[in-house]
Amino acid sequence: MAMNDPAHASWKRYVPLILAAIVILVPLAVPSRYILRTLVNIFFFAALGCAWNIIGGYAGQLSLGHSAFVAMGAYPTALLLLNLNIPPWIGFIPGVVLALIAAYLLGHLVFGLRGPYLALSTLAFAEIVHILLLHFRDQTGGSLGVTIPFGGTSVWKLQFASEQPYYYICLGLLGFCLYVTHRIHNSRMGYYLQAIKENQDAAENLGINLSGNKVKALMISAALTALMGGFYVAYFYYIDPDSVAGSDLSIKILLVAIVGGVGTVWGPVVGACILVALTEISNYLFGSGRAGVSLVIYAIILVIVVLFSPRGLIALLPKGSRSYRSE
Amino acid sequence: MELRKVTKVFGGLTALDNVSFSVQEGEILGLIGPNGAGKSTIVGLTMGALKPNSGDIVFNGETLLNLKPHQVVERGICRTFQVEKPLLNMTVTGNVLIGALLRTPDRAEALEQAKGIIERVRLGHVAHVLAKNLTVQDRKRLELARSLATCPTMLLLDEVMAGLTPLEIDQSLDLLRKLRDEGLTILIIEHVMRAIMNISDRIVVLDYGKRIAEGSPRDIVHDPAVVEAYLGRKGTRSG
Amino acid sequence: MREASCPPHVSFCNPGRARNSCRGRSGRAGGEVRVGRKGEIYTTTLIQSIVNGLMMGGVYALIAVGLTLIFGVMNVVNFAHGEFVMLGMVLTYLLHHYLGWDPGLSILLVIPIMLGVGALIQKTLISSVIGQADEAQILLTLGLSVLLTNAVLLIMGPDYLSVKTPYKLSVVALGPVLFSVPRLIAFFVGLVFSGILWLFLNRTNLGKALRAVAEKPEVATIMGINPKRMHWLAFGIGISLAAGAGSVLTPFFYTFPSVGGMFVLIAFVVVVLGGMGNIPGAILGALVIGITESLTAQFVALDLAMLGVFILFVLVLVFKPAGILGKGKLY
Repeated sequence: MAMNDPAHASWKRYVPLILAAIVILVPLAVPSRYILRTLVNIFFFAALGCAWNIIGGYAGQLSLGHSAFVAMGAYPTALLLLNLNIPPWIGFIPGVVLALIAAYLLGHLVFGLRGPYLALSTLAFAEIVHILLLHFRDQTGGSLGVTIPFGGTSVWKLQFASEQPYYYICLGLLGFCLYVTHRIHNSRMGYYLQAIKENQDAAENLGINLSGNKVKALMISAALTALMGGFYVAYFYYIDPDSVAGSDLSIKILLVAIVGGVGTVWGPVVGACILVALTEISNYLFGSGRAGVSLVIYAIILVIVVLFSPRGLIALLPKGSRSYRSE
Repeated sequence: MELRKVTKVFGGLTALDNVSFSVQEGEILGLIGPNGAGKSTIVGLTMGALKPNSGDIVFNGETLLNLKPHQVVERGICRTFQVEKPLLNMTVTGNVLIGALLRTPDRAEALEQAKGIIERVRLGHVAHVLAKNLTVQDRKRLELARSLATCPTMLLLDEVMAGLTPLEIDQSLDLLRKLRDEGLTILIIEHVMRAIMNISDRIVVLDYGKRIAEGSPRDIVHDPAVVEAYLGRKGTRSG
Repeated sequence: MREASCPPHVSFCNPGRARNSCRGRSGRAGGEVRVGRKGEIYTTTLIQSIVNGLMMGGVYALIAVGLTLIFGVMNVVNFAHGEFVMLGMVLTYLLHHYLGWDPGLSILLVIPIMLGVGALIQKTLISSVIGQADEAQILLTLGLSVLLTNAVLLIMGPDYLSVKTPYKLSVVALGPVLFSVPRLIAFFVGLVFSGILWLFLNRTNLGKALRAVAEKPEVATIMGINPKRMHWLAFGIGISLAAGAGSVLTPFFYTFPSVGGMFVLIAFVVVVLGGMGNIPGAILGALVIGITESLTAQFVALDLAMLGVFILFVLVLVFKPAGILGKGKLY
């Protein structure tokens, strides 16, 4: 759905609608848990990529430690659910608030820095969160993590035996993230972030509040990421510092956005499709014990994208380059 | 705008030494001086990118000292960069649009404004060209257009005429005169003497960070201190 | 952060002398050295802790000077730097495991090999992003890092490997302060090689050519120096030093695919502390970081050791981003 796209042949206008219909109807038509689970994975990573994209793609501030925000959403949700029986759809709120505060503080601390220093600080930030999660093991379970027991289907607790409800929840969350990105893309903030990414000095001299816009973008990004952290708890039932605050997750998140297309609304979706598809293929070919294979492939793709198609693979799709805005 | 006894020291180098002058509303003030005299430093200080060691810069009765650059722009002063800084992956229209968005958050309105400015500055023929594909002259015009889009009350032009043909210079001067007549105050720094002598209502001359002369273009040309500064004294002259 | 046989900041494993409980994998090792009578504990512990930190700092110095050299000459921030440490460790392990080579010997082979590897990587990959936007470099080297880590993971498996040398548990005593021999060796190797690099840059023509490219690339080209050649030389040297550091780490640090991750972060903090492109700064910074880590581990909490380092990092970034010694360029 390119934003600046004048109407082409009328049948093409229906393509997005058809795709949307397919996506919505799939769970009802296809009983395979495997396919549904794969799709949920795609939605999940697409949403995370979308969230990252706001600060990393639009504003161009590479966050290499975004998994810290996932953890900030996941841990409160999990602990509140486990200890106080608070359902995830309430429990995620403290997580999001925590992420907002952290983003605010982090942003003001590091956005004065340029490029590599900034990236480094985000790495350090994530590492700090990781260390703290391990350290306070009495509260967080340390390296053993938090396991949520499945107590039977319960709408209240968002626990379901089948995949379909999770599918729609995740789809809804993805839709929300896409909507937020779309709003930003078409607003003054979107233009301003793009200007900041292109040339900070020029942007500042056009009246753009560098720090204000960057911090705002980070806060939005962190909040959405934490939201998905809450979903993670509801869907995967187990979290530990390595899985939700580790560098593997951070890299996957940014890969989704970068490979798909930075600074576009649908880029992360493309990226997530590619990445999840690759994971499944490599699991099939090499067995899931060889976890390294998919990461090697991701890394190779990242290198290829950086070298040959820095705007992401969405630029290679027929109307993909219209997703970027140049005026 | 007024500079009051502004001093700026970089490490061991005194870039500006107790400089004071003022820019009247609605005038075009030319700032000239040999290389290294401190002219661009004044722009940096005014915009808040640099802080003076002492002295004050006042605009419309308000001090500019502790403001960040974007706040200075909000208050109505905009600058162009000597080395152009276009937003490379955006078109000319996109670049100017972003400037216009400062005053009107509505995209459609801002676009209208941007188009108008692009026409005035004679960039219409490249309106949809990506900034990275522009010629140097067009880039300079883009700098000007973008700054104008922020609806400034005062414009700081840092060597916008460099590399232009005489015809282009005349066109630019025309434009600047029209803008001045519409109420824009302009501080223009230039090395192209023909341009600055032609357009300025008054001129301030800097040398080695000190203000050595101030007056109408005709007076400046005859001022012995100015002549000496440009033609050099006996002995070395730093470039 | 996964620690090795004995976390570096807990002094050493010598069951005879000290009551010590080291648990490597989970990083949850604990224990202090109780040397002498109770009254002497704190001072001696303090000195011991500082000594341990210094020794580790020597190794950090070697890793960091490579990183800062690469930045100084090529303006590239090598996020994959830690993986080259890891590669050095892996190579050394293989040489030890299959040929029985001592790590001290291996380093003589590791360094030239990695020099070549580095040059190759530079020519094929890194050269494309020189002069481009920061994001390109960051992402490329990040991708390289993931690639190397996982490639090694696939080839060698996830196990923690250790190199057992005869002097692994040896200790030298200077009064109440104990120096673990492998760490001492690592410290000296680290400092000596860093020193050699410094001499190379300042006393040899080739080194001066490198500095020329770092400081004024355009002028260097005019003077007939080929910047591209200098680039791969710098990159090669940089990562081969990192690999060398990996070699000397093997006697007291587990070898495993993701070990690079912790070192790259430390190396970066050191480089920021000392100033990007500043070699003496990197050496000094490394010693400071080593001590900070050690003291934090000893007196705050073992698993919060890195936190102390990061807090220092944040403070430097906020108050003096050019580093403690300012932004020097290779001198």
